[in-house]
This record gives sequence, C-alpha cells and structure tokens, in this order.
Amino acid sequence: MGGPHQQPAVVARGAGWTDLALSGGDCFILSRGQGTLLRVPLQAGASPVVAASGLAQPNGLFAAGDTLYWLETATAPGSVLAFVPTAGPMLRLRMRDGAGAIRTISDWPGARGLATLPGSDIVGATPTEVYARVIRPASTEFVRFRLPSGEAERVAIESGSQHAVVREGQLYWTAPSDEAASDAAVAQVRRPAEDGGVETVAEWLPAPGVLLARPDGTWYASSQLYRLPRKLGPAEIRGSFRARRVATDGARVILLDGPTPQAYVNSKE
Amino acid sequence: MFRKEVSGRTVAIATVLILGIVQFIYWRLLVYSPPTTPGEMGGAPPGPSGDMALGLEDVEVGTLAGDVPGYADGPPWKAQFCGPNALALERGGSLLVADSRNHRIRRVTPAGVVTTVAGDGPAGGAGGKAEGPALEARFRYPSGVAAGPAGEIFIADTGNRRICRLQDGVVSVLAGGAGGATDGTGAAAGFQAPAALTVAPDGALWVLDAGDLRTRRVDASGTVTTPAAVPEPVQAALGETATKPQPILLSAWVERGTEPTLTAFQVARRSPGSMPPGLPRFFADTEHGSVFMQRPGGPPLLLAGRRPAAGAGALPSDGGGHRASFALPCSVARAPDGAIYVAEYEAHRIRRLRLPDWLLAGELEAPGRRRNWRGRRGS
Repeated sequence: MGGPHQQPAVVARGAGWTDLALSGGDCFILSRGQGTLLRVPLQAGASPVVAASGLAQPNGLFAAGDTLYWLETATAPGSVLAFVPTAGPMLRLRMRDGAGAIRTISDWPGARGLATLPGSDIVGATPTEVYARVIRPASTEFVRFRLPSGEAERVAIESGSQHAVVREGQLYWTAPSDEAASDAAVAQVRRPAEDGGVETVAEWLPAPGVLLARPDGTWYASSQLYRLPRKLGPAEIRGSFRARRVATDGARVILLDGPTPQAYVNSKE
Repeated sequence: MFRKEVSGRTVAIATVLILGIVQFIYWRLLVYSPPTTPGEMGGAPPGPSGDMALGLEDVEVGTLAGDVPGYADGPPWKAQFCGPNALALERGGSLLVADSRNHRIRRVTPAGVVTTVAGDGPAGGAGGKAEGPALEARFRYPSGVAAGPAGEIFIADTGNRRICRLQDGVVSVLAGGAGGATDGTGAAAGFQAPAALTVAPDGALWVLDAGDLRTRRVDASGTVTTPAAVPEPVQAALGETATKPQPILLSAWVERGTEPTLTAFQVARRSPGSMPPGLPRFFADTEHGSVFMQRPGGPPLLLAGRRPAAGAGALPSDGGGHRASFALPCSVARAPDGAIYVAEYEAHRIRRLRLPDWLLAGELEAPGRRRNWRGRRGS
C-alpha cells in the first residue's frame, strides 16, 4: 500500500496470490492454486480472512463498487471431448456481493487448456452487464453476461490474442486489421454498432497493443500512445515509448519501461 | 514562360528511386510475413526427448473455407465458422458441417462456398430449441451431423440432448430431449450430450454420447437402444477416443542427428473420422493438433501437423504437411476424389489435405527420395 512519493507499507504477506482488487474498503486477493478468495483489511499488519474457498482455478478478479466478479473453470466429470461445447470445459462467471453472498451467474463454453491459457479475465462491469475476455488457443472471445439473469452472448470473437476495455458501458476491443496483409502486426479497434453489428473505430494501429479507458476517451498503447477518435478516423498520436506494461489511474497513463514507473500526462493537463 | 530543363539522367534516377521506394513499401507492409521458426507461430519446441515429429512435405494442406471466426455464408474467403466440430460427406460431394458455436448446420461445396442448411437465432447466443422449417429451427451447440441414404440429414442437437432429422426442408425430432441414458422411443429416450453420428450400412443411426461415452443406436422409428457390442466400423467412425482412450503408437519421420528415422510416438486421443473398412483410415489427434493415416493392420502415419503440439496461442497455418499446424482438429472426412477434409474447432476453419499418389499407393516415402520432408531431397 502506498502512493506517489510515499514509502510502500506491507499490508499482508502470503504465497500463491494471483489477482488483487479493492472493494468496500478492503483488499481482495485470489489464490489460484489454493482456490481461495481472501479479504484483507487495508491496514498494515492485517491478517487475510478467507472469504470463499473451493473455487475452481479462479482467475480475473474484478471489482465494481462493492461487488466482486471472477472466472472459474469447470470441467464435467469424465469429459474428454474438448470440442463438444456442452461436454468440454466451461468458463464460469461468479460474483460476491457487498453482503458477502457468493453465487454463480452463468457458464460459457471454454476451451481445452483454458486453465493454462493466460489472460482470460473480466474486462468491465456495469450494473446490468459483465464483460469477460476469454483467451482461446487461437482466438479471443468477448462475452457479455446480463445481470441478474445471467444470459450470456458472444459480442465478438477475433483471431489471436486481443485486448479490450469497457468505457461508459461500451466494450472496445482490438482485432487484426482488415486492411493490412500482415494482420498480426497491424491492429484495429472495434465496438458494437448501434444497428447491432460491429463498427471499426480506428485502423492501422501497431500490434500488439492494449486499450485504456480514461474520462477523456479511449486510448491505445503500443509502441506509440494513441487517443482514439469517437467515430472511424485516424487515431491521434500522443507520444512514443517502448513500455513493457501500461495502465491508467483515470487521469494519467502509467508507463513501466524500467525499474521506475513513469506517468504520461497529456499536454492539456 | 519559364521552363526548367531537367536532364534525362536525372529523370531516370528519380524514377528508379521512386520505383524502389514503392516496391519496398509494397513488400514490407503488404507482402512480407516474418519467417516462422520452432516455438513461434505454427512452430513447436522439441519434445522432452529432443525429437520433433513432422508431417510429410508432400501432403498439401490448405483451407477449404473459413477465415476469421464468426458467422457468415459466402465464398471461402468470406465464410466464417465458430467452432466447427463435425463433418459428413453428402453424395454430391459437398460437406455438411456442424457449426457448433453458431448453432447451425452448414454446407460447403468442393469449391468452398458455404451456405446455411439449418438453424436460426443469434449466432453468438447460447442457442435455442425449435423444430420446423430448416432455416427457422433452433439448435443448441449441435456437435454431430450425418447424411442419410435418402438425402435426409441427421443432427446431434447436443445441448438440447436430442437427435433431429432434416428431411424435405423440415427439422423434426427423431429421439431424445431429456437428460439421462434411458433407452426408449422418441421423447422417451434420454441423452446427455449426443455428439458424433454415423449411419451404418443397414440404415441405423449410431450416436456417441459425449456426456457418458456410451454408444447408442437409433432406428428409423426413433427407437434408441444401447447395444452391448458395437460393430468395429461404427466404433471407428464415431471415434475410438471415447470408448478406448488408451494411447496408441504412430509412425512419424523424426529429425535425429542427420538422418530421418521412422519413430514411434504415443497419441493420446483420437477423433471421429471417416473410416470405411478395408481402406486407410484418417483421423485427427485433437490433443496435439495433427492428422494421421492408418492402413489396415499398420501403425498410424503422421500426415500433417507437428508433435509435440504448438503451444497456446499458436495460430494454425497451411502449407506442406511438415509446416502445417492445426488448432484442435476434431473431425475428418475423405472425399471421393481423395481429398481429406478436417474440421478445426479452435481455428474455425475447414482444412483440405491433398495426398501424393505414392502415399495412397502404400509407400512410406516418396520413390527416389531419401528424405521427403523439410525440403531436402536426395536420390
């Protein structure tokens, strides 16, 4: 725990912790190997409390207000045919509400090796929808779960490993370029269109890259930092860098390209 | 009027420069693709023993239909599938495809043109349940399809636990609809997850239930039984994976030192395939992304794909059998012209393998060649 220009303080120690989210004034931690969700009060020296156990390879912990969401992988007993959706591995969306009640929202057909494929996660949530990113062996699938019914549907499925973000309740995701011949090196950004189809927001972006949601718009970070247009058009280059990890705290873009994180603040701020 | 004189030499140099720049941009941005090496896209690291089994160079692997995942009919470069997991050949030479995650049955002509045969509703949803006109019927993750002798099409409506029949443009329920493994007639019969289908010479429909791995028989009246003995050709057609999941041995050319050697490997699982008795059988190893041929009494021969498999995130690729890679190939069908079709569940494509004559004639390597792989050819 800490902040800009502060000395970090150790809140709690443990092994095998894989995901972290802040909710309701507490820190929640997933332990994938042990199948547990831990709650840690945000004060130095706090002891982790098991909030849920017996979780099946939990992954992608995400906090929306005082509600937590995560994914689990469920495999039917005796299932050997990974190519039969209802008999193969299933991805299970689960949630913990502010009162501590845990329930399953819905299942979605997973993929062979899903538990070992990195990156499947919760992209974003609104009061009525949860968006999940499912990394499959040769593609990435974006799934919308409606609340509270749990009705699930595929919003899009794209070749390769892709990224997504939810901004103002709308899903944006990366996809291989429609126009470039070498689509593994060039990306575009898409979102659902008003007519129910899919529309492209920006094309000819260097791949791979990640999307960032900020109050002033949707951003794309790769070897350069782009601010995406509101409708199809050229993305505006806002900087060049070679960062290994990129994140945003809502106002700034945080770049990690060395031992010290750096903040990118656009020229208007 | 002012007119500036430009020498012919200057014009020539400028022209050459401009052409060079245009050619570079064209090659680098539009044509160039990085070379693949083991461990990268379509490649694979050597196995624990250091061996890498490769398919045969003379086996030509291409994509019949399908590109990016999704749902679209049309020519091969526009058609899209999502999770195709079962194939059946029709008499006319077209392929029927269970497009499981689009909840539809598709038809692919030998030219690769794709149309929807049956199914309706949101392709990206969780499916539905309805009989009636073919393009209004709804399925839930159909994972098996078979062509009947009278032109009817049998559909394993897996998620709805039932077997449907498409005849004269109308989908009706032949058997099932409830969970379990109860024998009976029509709706009284139970299935858990009916998947692979095959029609026996006597007209009976055989079903592999992926939920409990039992093999069921359905007659024309919809009466479902669970025979104690399953005819060997039926078992082979449904996939020996489910009923006999033991590892088997295969033969593959392996680079060991400087000489290729025919080496035994273990295959973990086998998929359903089209395997008429007395002829070579073709099947896919879903676990490791490769396709095999097996002559009667002989070991399976690796035709295309790589062992060990490419890692997670590897993209499928076409090319010679030694370079091609697959993402969960799960159903194989052999066309009358000798082409081998493969449904690729995670690559959302239908692939086509063309085999060399020498292979179909029973040889294990090309006549006059010491090495028939990796592009090295000797006498």
